Amino acid sequence: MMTVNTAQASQQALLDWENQSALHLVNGTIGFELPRYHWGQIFYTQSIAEELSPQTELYCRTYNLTIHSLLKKHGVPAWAPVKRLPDAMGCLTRIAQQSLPYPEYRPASPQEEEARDRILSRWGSSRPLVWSRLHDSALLLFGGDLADRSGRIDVLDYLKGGCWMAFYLYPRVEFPSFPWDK
Amino acid sequence: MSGESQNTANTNEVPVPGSRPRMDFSVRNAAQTHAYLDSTLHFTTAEIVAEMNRSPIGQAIVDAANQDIIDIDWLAFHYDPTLKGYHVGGRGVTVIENNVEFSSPGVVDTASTLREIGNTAVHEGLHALGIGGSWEAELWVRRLTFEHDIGRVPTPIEVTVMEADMRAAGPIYTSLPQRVGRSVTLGGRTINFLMRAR
Repeated sequence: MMTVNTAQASQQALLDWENQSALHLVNGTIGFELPRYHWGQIFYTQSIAEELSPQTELYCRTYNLTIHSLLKKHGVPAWAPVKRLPDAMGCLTRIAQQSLPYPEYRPASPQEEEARDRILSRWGSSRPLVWSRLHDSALLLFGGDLADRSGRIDVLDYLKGGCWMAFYLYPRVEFPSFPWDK
Repeated sequence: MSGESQNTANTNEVPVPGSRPRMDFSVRNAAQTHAYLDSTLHFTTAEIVAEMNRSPIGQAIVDAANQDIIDIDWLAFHYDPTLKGYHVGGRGVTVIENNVEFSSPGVVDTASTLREIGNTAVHEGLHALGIGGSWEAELWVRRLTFEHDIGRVPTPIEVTVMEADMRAAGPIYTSLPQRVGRSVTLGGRTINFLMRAR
């Protein structure tokens, strides 16, 4: 069983903030097969245990309260996922501005490669057609068509190695053309 | 438990003497906390149990609950919107609102939501049965939940994806021991978590 020390939870929160890796902690089951960023959150959500216990619950609350106090003091930092993630139209715009053919993509690290592989497993038989590296926000975009010809863009965050951040789907009936169509 | 209790789908249900009373639990959407939901989430326990019963694995979980081996409970909503469920010892809890699926922004997909509620209830029920505490056990829960949801055993590639998801989730799984010596019987199937032979 996890040994909980509320001082440790606060210290970990402060350390994570300094390392630009602050999280939103929960105790229980989240969608682990989904991207790390959950809509409406500021930071990535991470579960510390699936079995609920007063200790782990207290750890989560103490950690999150510390992060909340830092947010009140400093505001939402520029490195927070919510600040860096473009919206659906923003991703299309960025890919239209600059993208390369997907076969030319090479992962920059083992973590980036593993995150890329998790993303590809969600594409089924399809594969991205283009990719784009957003240096200003440390993000990678992968765009292409799914089997039903709807568009898909996945966002990979490489600020701290590599993690699958988010994805967007674009039905063809609403988006008759994509930047990668040409 | 929270939420309203309303028996709408199974008016003839009578608690079996000696067992815990089954709660017919209908969940009403807390529109005041989730204003983007303009429809009412309304599922009875009977509907959720019927959804779980569509697979032998789900049936085994429901049977275990009916035999008081485990408890299956529901929460209408949780203060943390990212939490889909949790377990405490032999009790699995599903947070109804956090399993909502949308067909388009603001439009609840009722069928997919019910399916996701059932999946989470099966997932937490498997943990409540005692399947947990090691990497292998956690993978078993995922594999069995997949089998319940999709209706077939996951392929080796799909299991590889599950393990990649578990690694990406962080210390919640990566800190677990690889295996523990335990076994659980589930609907006639024995799930073994054997110690690796030395």
